[in-house]
Amino acid sequence: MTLLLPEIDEALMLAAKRRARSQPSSGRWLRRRGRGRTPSRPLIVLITLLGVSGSLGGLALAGTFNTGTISPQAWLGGQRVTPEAAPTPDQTASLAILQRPAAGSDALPAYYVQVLTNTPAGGSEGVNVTLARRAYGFPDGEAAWVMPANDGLVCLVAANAQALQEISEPASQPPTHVPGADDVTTCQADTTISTGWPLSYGHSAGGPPGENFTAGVVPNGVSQITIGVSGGPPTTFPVYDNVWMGYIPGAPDSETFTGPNGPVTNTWAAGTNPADEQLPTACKKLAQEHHGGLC
Amino acid sequence: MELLPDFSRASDAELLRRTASEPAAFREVYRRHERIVVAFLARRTGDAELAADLTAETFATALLHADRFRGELGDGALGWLLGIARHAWLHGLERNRSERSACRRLGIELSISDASLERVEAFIDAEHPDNPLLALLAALPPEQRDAVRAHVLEERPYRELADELKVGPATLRQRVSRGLAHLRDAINEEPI
Repeated sequence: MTLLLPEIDEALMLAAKRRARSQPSSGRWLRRRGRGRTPSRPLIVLITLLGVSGSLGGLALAGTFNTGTISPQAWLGGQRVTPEAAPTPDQTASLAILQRPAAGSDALPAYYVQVLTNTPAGGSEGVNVTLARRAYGFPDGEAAWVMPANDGLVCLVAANAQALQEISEPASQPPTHVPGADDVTTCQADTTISTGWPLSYGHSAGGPPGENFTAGVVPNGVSQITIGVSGGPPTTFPVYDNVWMGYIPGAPDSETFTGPNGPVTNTWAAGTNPADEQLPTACKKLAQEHHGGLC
Repeated sequence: MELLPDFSRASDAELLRRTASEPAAFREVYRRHERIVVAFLARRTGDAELAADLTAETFATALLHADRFRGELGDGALGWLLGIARHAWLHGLERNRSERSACRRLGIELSISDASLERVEAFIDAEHPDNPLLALLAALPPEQRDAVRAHVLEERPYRELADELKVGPATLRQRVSRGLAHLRDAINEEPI
């Protein structure tokens, strides 16, 4: 495929080679920026399904924390997105955590507020961080928050103890890295909760070698979920307040739980995006027959 | 002869992770996503030269911040790149071209050829018969085509479109998502 702009390709390659040659070892040069702090965190931001509205995915923490004054929602052509006013009836019906009255301990940490409101990824989705409810019960110091966003989205922040320690610094700058810190921030359509929330997971930066930190939301009544991985044993996680999280030894390729409507099993090819693949079977069939007619 | 590693099967996340030590990995990222980034910026700026300039700034920023990409496995870097592109575009409205900070930091000075600019111009003119995106868009299933056109090209919000089309926002998102996925696949196969 011919490049549209081969000049940029050439210039980028020269620049990349210069940078690579000037560094003593891979990756180090990138970590020295940001006022001597470590800007790289094991943070996953997966907002919307495959949006190309400029709002998707791991998006542009680059520049966000280094600019001093942050312009909320400036990512949307100057149009501020109004956060969702309240959970939808569907959300409260399927997620007891969102029915609970707010308590002071539900407050989302400032770092995640920043991520969900002042980055392109979160800012365009209308996440209402003030409606966050914390999931309790995780045994090893983990914490999770669930909150609504626009267009029927439900957002999840799940963090292990190290990540919580990492973000505890009261600063708008990316915090100093704590080994083993892993977290996931993701928003998905609430319609996917009962049929299996598309998994959110990421490569661990400091967790066990070869393992991925993953987390998700399940409907009321689900006490555990089993995640299958390609070429490895499945892992079962307990559910606390509609949320589960933990490490899996590889790339996930299935999820199984017993929901209010019976057993739910979703499978997908390991390495593909469950969010895209995880349509119910009936939907997939319909999509194939009608060239993408969607459910 | 320099033997280049084959990155064609690597995920975007892997490519970006390897960029610091293997510059050729970033070339693959550029090759995969150049067209959509150019089209995205060309449609917004209406100026081939500015679109090329902002494309360079977008990928230069991505190169500088490659270690910050934390995509889901299988979830490519396109959304991340378009977020950067949008940011570059909005700032580009206010800043002089010479202030492109990422390009400056990387020592990138560009001289875009007329032939390249002509190719970019095809993306600007939606009615241009040579606009490859237009043809690919037209080939999408109608529901996806309309959703992509309205939300991505016309930048209309999901909620407004959902009301108009009388479908749920989640359905609309899926239409856009699948339409874009098809476009990406088609662009990668396009022998242009």
